[in-house]
Amino acid sequence: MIPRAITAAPVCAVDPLIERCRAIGVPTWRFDAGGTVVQEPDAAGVLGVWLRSADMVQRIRARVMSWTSQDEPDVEELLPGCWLLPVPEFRRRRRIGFTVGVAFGPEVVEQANFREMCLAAAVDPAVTRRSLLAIARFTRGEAERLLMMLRWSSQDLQAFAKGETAVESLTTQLSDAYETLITLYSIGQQMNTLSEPAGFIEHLLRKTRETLEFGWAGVTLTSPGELRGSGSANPIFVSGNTGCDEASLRDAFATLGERLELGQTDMASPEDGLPESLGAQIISHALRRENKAIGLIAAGSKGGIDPQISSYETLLLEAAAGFLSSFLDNVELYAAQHRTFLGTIKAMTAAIDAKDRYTRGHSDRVARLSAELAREAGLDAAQVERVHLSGLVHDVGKIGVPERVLCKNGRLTPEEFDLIKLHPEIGYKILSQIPALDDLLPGVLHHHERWEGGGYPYGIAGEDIPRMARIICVADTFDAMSSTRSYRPAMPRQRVLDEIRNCAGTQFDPELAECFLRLDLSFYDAMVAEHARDEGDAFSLAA
Amino acid sequence: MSVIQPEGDPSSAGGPLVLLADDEPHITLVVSRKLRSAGLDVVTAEDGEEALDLALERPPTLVITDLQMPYMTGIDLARALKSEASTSEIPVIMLTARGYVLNPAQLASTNIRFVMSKPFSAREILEKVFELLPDAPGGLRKTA
Repeated sequence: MIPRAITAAPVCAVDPLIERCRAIGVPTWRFDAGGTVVQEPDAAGVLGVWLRSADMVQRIRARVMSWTSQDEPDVEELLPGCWLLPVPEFRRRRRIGFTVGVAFGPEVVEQANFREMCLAAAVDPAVTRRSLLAIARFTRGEAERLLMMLRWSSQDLQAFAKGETAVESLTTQLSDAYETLITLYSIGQQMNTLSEPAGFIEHLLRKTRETLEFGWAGVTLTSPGELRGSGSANPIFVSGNTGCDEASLRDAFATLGERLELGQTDMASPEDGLPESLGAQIISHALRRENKAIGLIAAGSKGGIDPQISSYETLLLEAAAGFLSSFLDNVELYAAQHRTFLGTIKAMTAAIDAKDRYTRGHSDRVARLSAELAREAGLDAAQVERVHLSGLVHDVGKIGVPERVLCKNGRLTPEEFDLIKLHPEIGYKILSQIPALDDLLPGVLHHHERWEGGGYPYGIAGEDIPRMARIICVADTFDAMSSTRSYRPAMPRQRVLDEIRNCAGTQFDPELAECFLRLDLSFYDAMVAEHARDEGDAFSLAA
Repeated sequence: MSVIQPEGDPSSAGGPLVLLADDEPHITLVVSRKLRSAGLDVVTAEDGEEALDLALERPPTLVITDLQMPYMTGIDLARALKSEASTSEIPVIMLTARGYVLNPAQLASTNIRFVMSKPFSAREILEKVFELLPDAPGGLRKTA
């Protein structure tokens, strides 16, 4: 791989020198190291014709050839009143030719061969003489000092041009570095969106592609330890246009994965059996988690000023791959943590349900009913999720209620009912030990409060009761009335709904009761059927 | 103003001198700036040949050179330095294009101690310089 080519054209130091010579009446030639004319003087009129004549060029060239063996040729008199000023031209410390200034003194036109030279050049001697005298103002001593000035000027111009070139390339590098920094910054900022991995991957691909001017960039995730997987289950993400259908893209990624099994980064081309539409160069990088391959990131069809993939692109793609690997790690950890969290909650609800077979599935159903009601009441997705979780654990305090009371056949005594009424506070005490469940506590503590007051444990009323609790209260009562209990059979659906309607404003928040009556309860019936089947299975297992 | 002045000309007093050779002027510009601000003397060359001339004229403490340069590559420069009595002990840091791997045969009969691939940061180079010149910069020795 090659470093990025410097796109800035080298700044030419010779043109300004020629400009300066012209301004002080010194025509110039440029010769390369072999004595070939590179540039003639651009003087107008007969003077120009005379200067550019074959005779004149031949005379000057003969002197230039003699300089090639000299370190620093001095002022050279071509004829009296005509001095050649050799200014060496360098590139990379090597002399590559001369810029030759010609300084004239007035005596040049008095020379015997001046007329001859004019005739040889087919110009009128009198007119040429007049034109020449306008610029023929130097003496030999002045010509010598002028050569020194021109050499210094040339050195300064070359140093300046070198500086300009350095500044140009530094500016290019700086702007590249800035783009890279902004890209990495923007990718880094998005790294906390763990609940939406696809959004992050798309953002990363788009930013990488835009910054490096790739036509497309893509990611595929394979099963751990596997890079060449092309199965349709492996997710593929692409930004930009690959010009490929999904099947050929999968094949291409499989080919890239195979190549990557040996190393971290790979550069491939259509000759390696990849579709032409992916570009002349395709760069890819393996994604790894704890040394196991989990996928790859690739990009191609590079455009922009420099369509070659350089170390600059390689470096940024490596960085993007690093970000992505670490992000996927975090996604996996987050998902595992969430599974543990849900598992803990399920375990708790299972513990409650196990105590009373009549309430089996109750927590699940209340949770689902509460969530549907919360959604119907206009809560956002995050709030609905919290209501759902609170619904799952709302009765966890029943663990602390004696089984003989909980499962008693027939009416409870007032003392027994007092024991039942402790369950919201017991639940609160149990769950308040877990910081992550803090926001579920209001639903647990207050789901037996009544809208008009007089419920338990605190007897608070109206909007003093947290909304989460008011929601769970409706759902809980609905499920209780709809289920068979140890002391009574299930009530028919219509009677239950009438009861909800009748208790709006007394037991229930009237707005929530109204929302509840709008719910399509087919999901609930399905859950009841499923729980009944589970129960049947449990009984048949026991039998 | 510093209270403690170095005695005499720091270069003739044997302070560390780094010779930096790269044909890309922006590299010599950035790296020499970093080295100088760390208190090191720096001379720069734009090709291997110039670097060798400068090294023979005034042997540096350390050479940092690009690999691909006109007239004489960094490897040829390192070999030439090793073969001259006055420069045979000078350590060399080699800068290469990314992905370019130097093989043992290339490294033989040179004093190449580190190979760094571009793009690198000037700070990383400075770290390597300090590893090779534990007494540098001169400022650290002022208290001795």
